[in-house]
Amino acid sequence: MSVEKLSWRTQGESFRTTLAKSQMFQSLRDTEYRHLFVAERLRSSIALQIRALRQQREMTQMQLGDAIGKAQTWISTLEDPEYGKMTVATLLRLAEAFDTDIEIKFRSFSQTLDSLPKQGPDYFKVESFEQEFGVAKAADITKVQSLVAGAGSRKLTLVSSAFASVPEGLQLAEKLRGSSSERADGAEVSAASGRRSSGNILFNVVDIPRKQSAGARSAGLEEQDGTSKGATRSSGVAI
Amino acid sequence: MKRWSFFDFISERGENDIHRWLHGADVTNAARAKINARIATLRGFPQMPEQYISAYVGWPKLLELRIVSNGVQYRPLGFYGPERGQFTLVVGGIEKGRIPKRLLEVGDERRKIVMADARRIVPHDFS
Repeated sequence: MSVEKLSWRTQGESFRTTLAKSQMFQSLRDTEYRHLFVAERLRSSIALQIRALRQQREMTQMQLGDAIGKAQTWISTLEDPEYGKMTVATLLRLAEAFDTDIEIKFRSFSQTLDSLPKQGPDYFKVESFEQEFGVAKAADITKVQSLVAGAGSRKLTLVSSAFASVPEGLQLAEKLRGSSSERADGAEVSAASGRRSSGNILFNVVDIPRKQSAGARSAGLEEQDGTSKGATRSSGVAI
Repeated sequence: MKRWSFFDFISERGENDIHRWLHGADVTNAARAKINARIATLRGFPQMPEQYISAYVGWPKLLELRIVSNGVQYRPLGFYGPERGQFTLVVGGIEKGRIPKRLLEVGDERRKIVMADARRIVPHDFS
């Protein structure tokens, strides 16, 4: 790639991105620098992506460790950008735990220069196979049903494309829509469901203390995007 | 959320102090490559993880990018701001062990200058 090509601003690219690209190119002309740059970029990118995928799945380091048969401290090491000694076997185990594909591929520096300055928050996130394609099993439906029924003091938001893919899932969604029940400790547990534009069905199970106003109650029940508003709280569980 | 934008502090004379530090005698080619690669990667991450950044007791607004190269700890100091989604590097050092108070004072002084006058920063120079 020529310097002239680098200074060419591609469609939608900001002046700042073009400038960063050109500055990176100047530095990469030094052989030692570019080899060290590659090593560091790779180490930090992998460590950051492991962290991002774990957080996307709302897993603790302990839970991810359990999933790949390692200790929590090992996950912490993998998320440390200074480590950088993970093997392909470890990466494959992580891909299995995250239920994603993995690509380890050499590439040209022009590709690096083209992609790196544009790297945004979504760069590190990857959906699991199930999140992408919504393969549901009877066991998944039972799991959600029992989670909702036994919500107790837990605040749950259940988002699953699994519901959209099988008749039982849709039936369950309809059954739970707007349903509510009293709890012994005085809090009311309500479940609401709705279809999202992506085809996923979302459930909110929101604890609402009796003292709260009707306005706050409806704010909680109207929430349909997986986050909570107002005085209500919820956390996400994806199956 | 947008990606992070990194900025460098510029002196009254318009010199990029961070660029000057990165190209000075204290910073090796290897360390410069590492610092720039780290910044380039962090730009795309929504929340800066604690393994990449350290805070200081008594200096709540200052943060250090944690960079070790060939056993030497490099200490680029900065802060979140002046605007949301921005991180500004204000000073750099390579001191071992406890960070000198003087470096933190310079960092905080520059932070205040930037907060008062946003023209004292430029986008991080990767060259």
